[in-house]
Amino acid sequence: MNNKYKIIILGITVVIIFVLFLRVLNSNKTYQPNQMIGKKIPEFILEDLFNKNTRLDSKVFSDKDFAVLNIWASWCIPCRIEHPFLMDFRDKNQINIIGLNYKDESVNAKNFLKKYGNPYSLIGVDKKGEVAIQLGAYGVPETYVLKKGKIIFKHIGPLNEDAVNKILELKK
Amino acid sequence: MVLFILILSLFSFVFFRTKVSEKLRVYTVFFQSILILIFLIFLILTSNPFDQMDPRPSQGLGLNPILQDPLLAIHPPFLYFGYVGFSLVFSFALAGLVTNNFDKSWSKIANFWIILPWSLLTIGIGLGSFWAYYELGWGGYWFWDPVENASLMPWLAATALIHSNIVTLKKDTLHSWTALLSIFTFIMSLLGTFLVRSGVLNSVHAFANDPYRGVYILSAILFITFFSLAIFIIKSPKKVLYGKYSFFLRDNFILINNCFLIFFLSVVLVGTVYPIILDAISGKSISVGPIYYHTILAPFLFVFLFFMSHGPLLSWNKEDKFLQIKNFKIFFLISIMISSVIIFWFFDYKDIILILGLFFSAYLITSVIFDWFSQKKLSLNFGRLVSHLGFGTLIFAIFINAYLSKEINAAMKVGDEIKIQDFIIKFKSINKIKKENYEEVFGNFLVTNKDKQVELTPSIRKYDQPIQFTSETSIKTNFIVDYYFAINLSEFEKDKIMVRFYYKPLMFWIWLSILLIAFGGIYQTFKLRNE
Amino acid sequence: MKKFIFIVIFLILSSNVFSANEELKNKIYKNIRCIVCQGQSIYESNSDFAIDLKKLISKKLDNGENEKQIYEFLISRYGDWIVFNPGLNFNSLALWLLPLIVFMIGGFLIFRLNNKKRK
Repeated sequence: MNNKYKIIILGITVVIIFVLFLRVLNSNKTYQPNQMIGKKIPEFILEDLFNKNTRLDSKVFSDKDFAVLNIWASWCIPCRIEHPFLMDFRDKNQINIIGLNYKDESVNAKNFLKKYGNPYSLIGVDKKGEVAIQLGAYGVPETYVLKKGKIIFKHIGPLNEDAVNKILELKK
Repeated sequence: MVLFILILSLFSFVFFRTKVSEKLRVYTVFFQSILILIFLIFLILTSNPFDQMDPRPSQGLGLNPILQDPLLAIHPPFLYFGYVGFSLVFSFALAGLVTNNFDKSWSKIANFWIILPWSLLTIGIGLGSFWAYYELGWGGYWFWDPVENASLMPWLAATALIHSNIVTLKKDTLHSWTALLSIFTFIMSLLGTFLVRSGVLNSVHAFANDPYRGVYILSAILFITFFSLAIFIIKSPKKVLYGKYSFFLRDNFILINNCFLIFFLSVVLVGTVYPIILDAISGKSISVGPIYYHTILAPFLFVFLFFMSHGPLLSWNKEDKFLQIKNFKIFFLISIMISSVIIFWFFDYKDIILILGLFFSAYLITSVIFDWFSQKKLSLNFGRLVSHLGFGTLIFAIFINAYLSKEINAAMKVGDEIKIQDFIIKFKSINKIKKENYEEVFGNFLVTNKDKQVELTPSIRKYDQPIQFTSETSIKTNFIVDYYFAINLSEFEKDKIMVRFYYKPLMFWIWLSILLIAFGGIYQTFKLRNE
Repeated sequence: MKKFIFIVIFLILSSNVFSANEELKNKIYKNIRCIVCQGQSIYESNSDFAIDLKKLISKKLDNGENEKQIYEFLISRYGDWIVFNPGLNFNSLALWLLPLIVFMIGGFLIFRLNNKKRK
């Protein structure tokens, strides 16, 4: 082979490697598991935060056309940041939000809601964080959007304008 | 980075004083200066060390406590000396190519400049591994962590280079391959630096970084890669064909093992880089852990050891099939004896990988000892013999260690005594010490193994700047086995302490072997310097 | 006496079961990535997430699930990334093949060199 062609091939390889690594450098390095999107919500039954006799059964999602499941905890500071968005959801957009209280003390959770308002129609208590693992979550807050019991969208971290708009879009 | 440039200049300066033709010297220093320039630009553009922090922080963040360890402070300089040291062979190879001086005499001078950084890198890797074992408290010494891999890649390339350079030196062949490896070794060092410093990795070692810096290192590396390989393509030394050839020649065995070393290198390279590339192009994330490396490396390692045992015993020019077979019988018998005795003595289960690992490493050790005693003048090949012996004992120790290690995890409180397998662990007492920047809680444990008793005092430290807990291990070492103890705050029960006890055989031999490998190299560099 | 022997045998057996189970647990822990940490397995990590996973895994083992089922469960929730063993599938095919291809190219080159030199 001619040297000229060899060098051209070398050049092309180098450029390809450059582009590949550039993508690596620019890609988001926080891992976001989205394994559960498109799947049915796993089955679980949890006690309600306020009423010991009420149960949060994951079957309730199957009946609902549109629902939001929000994992939160009173000790989680980003949850405070996203709280106004959730309140807006309930008041302005008539979205049914179900809470999952993650590894929390009931007293603190209740105080938190007393102070900042309660956007949830039901709150399941996930004391050991097991249901969160079932859902494929790894921290708080995380927000799931469900249609007829199927997870169609997931947001990791506190809600922001973008995520809120996305959710409102999905509702239509 | 400052260190990087300092070493570059230092090597350049020392090289200036070696006896070499004017032309070669000028070109080598020229290429070396280009490298220095590239890194200087990088330094000034992205991380000027003389920049003042603005606003000036009132109090430093404090050094991460696991980094407050003297061992940690000394291992990166060794690694850097190794990495950057390869730059000189790189420049020297380019100079040799450009001036059409790539021949035996090139190899003679290059030899020193390859083995020196290789020895330093060996020590650096060994120290890093020792630090991980001693400080991290997980009982392991090699985690196939991307940053460890980054140091292993240039090591493998350089090991291949040392050997192919010997062939070039002795037989005046393989010029292009040696030239290519010289370039490649330095590129691997750069790639390692890029992977570690640009933040593309998910690793314990990854440092905080901005992407801008990553793009610059990437461009610099690819710039260097492109131009060096282009020079190689244009000026590639003409192939020298020689008449006589046979399979049972030393240079052929070296070549075969070069192929194995490149294979090992590609395993490590692919294992490290593939997941991040896959993630970037398809968004799919996979994790490549130790299982991958062990599975793919082990079978090849055995064949590699076999060629390594016989290679040095072969002649460079005269085919010698019969001696080979005679040696083969002796080594085979001795190593099968050693490995079967060990296996029946210590193991109640037989694993084929373990058997082969012990057999082939015993085979190598036997052959080196045989080689050692058949030397007419020991000093001639002393470096090689020591390094090869070290490699044999290293593999032997690694296999014994991997299969005979035991670990016990339990939650205990003061006064508890547990009995698991052959061990009785007694938690005797606890005491607290307050130091300048941390509080330390010691646990006193008594481990009884059959009739042997060992006292260990691991601790937990609570640093206040920033607040962080670290676990300090307590290790009792002897020639045969390490008793290794670490404690942690309990995750499940609050009133107890998580106890981790490891029984790690032949750890001492792993460290000694690495030292032997490096020592062989250092001996050789001193010998070459005096010549 | 019989009773005593019986108890001893039972203790030996149960202690074996205990340690085998412990070993399996540690093996699984070492094979699961703690995805909120940097490059650590949950065995090495003390983060909340790692602790929760460890609890869940030990519970699943006690419920009689085997290693494979646990990996499958975790992969279904968190993706392939969570398991350190890449296995052999479409995504990891190149991972296994690329080094082998390099080796074969090397072997071929040596073979060709040998034949050439023999002439």
